[in-house]
Amino acid sequence: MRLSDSDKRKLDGEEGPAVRHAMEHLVKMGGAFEAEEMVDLHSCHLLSDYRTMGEGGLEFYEQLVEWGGIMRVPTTCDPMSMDMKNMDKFDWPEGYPEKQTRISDAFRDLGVALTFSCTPHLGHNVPKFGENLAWVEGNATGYANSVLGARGNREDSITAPLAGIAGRTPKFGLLDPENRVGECLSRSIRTSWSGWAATAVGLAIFRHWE
Amino acid sequence: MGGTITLHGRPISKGVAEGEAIVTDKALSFIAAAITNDEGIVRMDGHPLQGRSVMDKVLVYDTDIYSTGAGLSFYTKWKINQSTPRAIICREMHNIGGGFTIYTGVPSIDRIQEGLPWDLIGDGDWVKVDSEQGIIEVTKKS
Repeated sequence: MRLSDSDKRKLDGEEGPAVRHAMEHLVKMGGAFEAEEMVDLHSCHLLSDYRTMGEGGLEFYEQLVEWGGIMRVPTTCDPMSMDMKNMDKFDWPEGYPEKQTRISDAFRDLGVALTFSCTPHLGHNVPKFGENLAWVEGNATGYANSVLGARGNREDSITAPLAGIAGRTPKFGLLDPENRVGECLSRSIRTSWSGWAATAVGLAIFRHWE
Repeated sequence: MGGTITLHGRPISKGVAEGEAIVTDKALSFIAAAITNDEGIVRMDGHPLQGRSVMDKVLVYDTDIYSTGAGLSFYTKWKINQSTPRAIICREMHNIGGGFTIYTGVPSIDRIQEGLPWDLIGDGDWVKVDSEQGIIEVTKKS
């Protein structure tokens, strides 16, 4: 994978340990998935839920903070697993609210907007046509790719924050314009049955690929 | 132990590991709700591996499905509970699986040239994954 001079400086640690750590992972990802180069990232969306990530996820985020990590692109976050305003109404396991709170604290330090929403595109994180994103939320990534014309893979919850800290991501999958060309074309006429017809065509294509 | 066969694939996360194979032709998710963080037990309802642990095994499956949150769930399995497989072999590695195996250093490999991995590797076979070289050695159980 080709690296720009700026990429190499980040990889050499000139922009701090968090950026170097992020770049080391992203370079390995690019190599494994046969990316030819890295591209600028424009938007990021992260996993917030302690129940899902567990103790390791909390340590992961706090380590990035300790290394001086900061998100270089607009970054929002998924819902957490508890209602902080009504936490007394539930019987949480011992220590659980504190750990969920530490994730929020780490996000503040990293520069993440505490939106706690799985639809970033309906708030303040709306990528433009052709921009690159690293979002952990699959439904939102589908919307961003197909409706907004932004470019993003269904990103995993480790790679997304690292891409945000580096401000770069390897160009593979749906980030590569060569992979964004339609593979089939259906023609239809507009009738009152268009919706049903479109559903039938979609199902037929899905079954063919399956 | 039976004979040994050598397979070739695409390295994703580089490293060397070996262990007993646990095999499915279905997709999996490493999200905590699908595979428990503490013991690596598959909880996916109706899945062929439901109730079995992937901990310390060489895990063979189709590809990753469901939540992108699987990355940090896998990281907790690896960092806190040591409940991950020793190595992973997929038909086609999703970038979700690529992300968590590369970050943790758990060896992973996909696109086996000789055929579908579950046709070539059986439950209980002893499998050595060398994803530095893209080579898998399979010693058949019997």
